[in-house]
Amino acid sequence: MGNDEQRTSQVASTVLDADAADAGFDGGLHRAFATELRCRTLYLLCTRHESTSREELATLLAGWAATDDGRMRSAEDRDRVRTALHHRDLPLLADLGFIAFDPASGSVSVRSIPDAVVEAVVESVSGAPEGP
Amino acid sequence: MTGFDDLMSSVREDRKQFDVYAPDDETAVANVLTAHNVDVKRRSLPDGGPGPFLVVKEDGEFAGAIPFSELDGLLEPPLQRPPALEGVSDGYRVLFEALDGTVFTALGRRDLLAVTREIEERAFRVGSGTLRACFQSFDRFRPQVDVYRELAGDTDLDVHVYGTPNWEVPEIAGLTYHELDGGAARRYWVLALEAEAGTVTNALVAVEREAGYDGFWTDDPERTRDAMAVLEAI
Repeated sequence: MGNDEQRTSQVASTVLDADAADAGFDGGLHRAFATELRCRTLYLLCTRHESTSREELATLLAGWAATDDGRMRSAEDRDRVRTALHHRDLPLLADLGFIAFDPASGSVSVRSIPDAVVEAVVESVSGAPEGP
Repeated sequence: MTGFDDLMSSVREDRKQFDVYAPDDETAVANVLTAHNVDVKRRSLPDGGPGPFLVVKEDGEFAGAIPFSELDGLLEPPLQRPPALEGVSDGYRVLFEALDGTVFTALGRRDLLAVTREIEERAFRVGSGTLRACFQSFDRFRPQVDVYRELAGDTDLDVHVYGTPNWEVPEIAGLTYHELDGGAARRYWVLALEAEAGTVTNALVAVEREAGYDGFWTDDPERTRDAMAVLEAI
């Protein structure tokens, strides 16, 4: 796992930098919404799963995608979601101070999500966008 | 007896788990799965989030997430299955396998006899087709001779009885005996019934262990024919 994890972390850092550059930075809001996966993750955290895990989020997000288009999501599909969560979305949301994320145990808990973000997330998700 | 071993492992749903993600008042899918004696857990979903879906796990690992919209027709009898499970996504394969058979472990002879009687009575009712029964050894067939004499004589069933030759079996018209050698076959207690044109199918496959019998029974046509084929090949 070691070298792969390191290599993937480097890739993830590059993705984060690119996110930051694209965002043009208005606080954390833009970055929080930069991907639909991140937006849905926030929605799940805001609405029900205040204390959860990377694994449970990956399952919920894979299931969510399945209900978007009525197609089954496979273990490989879920692995892709899990990898994105682990290396990109959860660390970023943790950096923003929205959540606490322990990469080792995979535990995720809400710390402080601004009301404006919660409102925007709920509004965005109810627009029924495409899945991951 | 690799054939029966393969059959048993293919329906061993105790390794399968189903997590139902649905609103609290949506209970139909969980109820259907529970009726199949599989491990079902209910999970909550936030309002406004994903629609209801089923997560299928095997050996604790995620095998697939299936939206409820895709389950229509899959859970209600007659169960609709793809013609072959090979090539089907893991999530569906695990689901179909769980629905196909009722697996048991450490079952006593009395319980197995009850299932056996049920299949034999069904054989009487259908009255035509093929019934194959492996009694492990012919002395275990002895108490059932009269039943099988009637099955062979009073119906149009093609009846086949298997066992190791440790008792001199009586000749019965319409009944064919198949002698097993002393190998692994004698551990298996098997019945397979297929009515004419496959309108009724039933199979019981059980292997004798120290603590009792492990196996499954099913009404799935494909699994029944598989059990039938293993016996035919003996």
